[in-house]
Amino acid sequence: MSSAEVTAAEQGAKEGAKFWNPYVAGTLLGVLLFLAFFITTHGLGASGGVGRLIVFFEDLFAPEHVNRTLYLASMAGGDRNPLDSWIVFAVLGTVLGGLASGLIYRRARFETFKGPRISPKARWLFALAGGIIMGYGARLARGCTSGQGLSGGATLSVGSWAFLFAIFFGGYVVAIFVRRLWR
Amino acid sequence: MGPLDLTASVGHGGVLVVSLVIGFLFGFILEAAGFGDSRKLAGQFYFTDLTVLKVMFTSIIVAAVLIGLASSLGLLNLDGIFVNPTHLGPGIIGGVVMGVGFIVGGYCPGTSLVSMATGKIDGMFFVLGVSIGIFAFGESVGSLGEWWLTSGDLGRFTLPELFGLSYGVTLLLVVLMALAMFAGFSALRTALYKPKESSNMRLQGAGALALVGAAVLTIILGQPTLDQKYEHMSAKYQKTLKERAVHLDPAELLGLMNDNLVALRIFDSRKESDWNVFHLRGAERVDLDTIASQKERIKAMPANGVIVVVDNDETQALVGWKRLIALGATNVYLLEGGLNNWLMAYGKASEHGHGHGSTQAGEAGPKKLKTVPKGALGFSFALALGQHHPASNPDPHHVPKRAFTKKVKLISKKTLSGGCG
Repeated sequence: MSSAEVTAAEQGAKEGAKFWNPYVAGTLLGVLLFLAFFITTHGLGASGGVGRLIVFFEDLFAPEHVNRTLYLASMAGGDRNPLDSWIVFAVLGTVLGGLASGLIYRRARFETFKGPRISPKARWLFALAGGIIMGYGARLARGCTSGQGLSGGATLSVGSWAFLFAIFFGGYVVAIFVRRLWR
Repeated sequence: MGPLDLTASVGHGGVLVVSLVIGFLFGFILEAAGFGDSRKLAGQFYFTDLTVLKVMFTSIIVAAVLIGLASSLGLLNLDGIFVNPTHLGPGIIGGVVMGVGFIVGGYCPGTSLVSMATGKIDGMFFVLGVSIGIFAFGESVGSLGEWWLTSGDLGRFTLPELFGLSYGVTLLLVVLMALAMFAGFSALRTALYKPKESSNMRLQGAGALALVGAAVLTIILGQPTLDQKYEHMSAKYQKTLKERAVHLDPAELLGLMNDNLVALRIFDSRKESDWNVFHLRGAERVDLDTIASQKERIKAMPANGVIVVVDNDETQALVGWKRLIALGATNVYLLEGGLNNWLMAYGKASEHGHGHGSTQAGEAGPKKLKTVPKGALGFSFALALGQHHPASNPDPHHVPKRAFTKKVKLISKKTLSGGCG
């Protein structure tokens, strides 16, 4: 393997502790997902929690607009508090859990992950643009990789399996054209 | 039987704490697997790093097998957990859009949170982008109109239903597909890059075998029938049945039939010949053996919906009641003493009847039979009038008054929600 093709895993190993074996991590995640269903009747989620935070701020500045928009009002209409939901706390937990792991394995530091051929600033711009596309798509699809993909996949939802393959399809097709970003 | 009713046991605040803990473990695993690093995630799409595929699909099949097995063992009620409703159009288009965002931005929403938490600046920009995208969606969802709400809306629709296979067989196929994907992608990566690291084949083989074994066990055990399912949850209803709290006096049922504020559905579980002779006005004949097919309609019942199961006596009605409970119906009752009791009370309604047939054949109401076998109709009718018999829908103002205890209490059903809602 040439040096240009050093995998991210090996780079990660250089910078901090080694990452967990993906099958072991996947098994633990699967057990967690099952426990989430058993204990709380639903799976995991992320984008919904971020969404509720956004609506919370919208409601602070433009409560009437929120009340007039059905989709927003369902979360924050009238006296409803959009933050009073399990998924907001799950998102908060996810951030804390990620930080904890990052600290334990000594990977928590300010830096920018990018491909070798683009500048950090360009990477930030693409991260922002990709985030916007992702955020919009996640709401369009009624859930992100976790809430729709993992949770719906585990309960054998037809829509979630179609969604999973759609993500990989979109990713693989566009990956051909944005190779410069990563390789 | 699970799932747990967390709100009942630890309250709303407790639910939020549990969610925080589950989220914490989720974030920890994501970071530990390397999902805080956009290069690892993007590597999936160039076959340099297969962590995304391996972690995602391993977790999905492990959770799916555990859910299926727990249901087979009577530990988990599948109807009690949230299944993401299928909206094919928005789901597929949204998925493709997300795939684009994934490779352009390097993260998905969950992983970007972890990346941000560990100080990665690209992760922070991505989270900012996700927030903007979600905001933009909230502002534009109105213009998507009906399409987002209804396109390809199939409700709760699962792979076993799609393929017409049992839950266990579907699980096995999903597990085998995931294992084939792992093998195929790994072979492709090896062919493309000839990576040096060797994987622990013994451990992977054992894991794969365990998953296949668990899926096969799920097939062998099968999914519980409605009766078995009820047995698993029966402890909760022992007191209710002992106190006969769901057994409605004929007078209460008659009141419900004439109450515009209640969306009443009467399920008549008798055989067709009895049904043809006599049944209540507005009743529907429901075969108890295929009652599971009523599931979607039961789920769509409005909040003021009440189901009353009627049979000639109580025996079969109770069987039906139990199956409906196992199907997750709320506000289910049965007719106390069955239609035989009803006819004792209202059989003579023909004298003041307001239906046709009251004067036909000179009948003075159905005749009570001397000996009635268990489960049989205890009256003989001169004509098979079905629901046109006066006693099918007696005028509540012209029937003899009965003293009874009101038992119907409308309970609002819990709607399951979840995902990224």
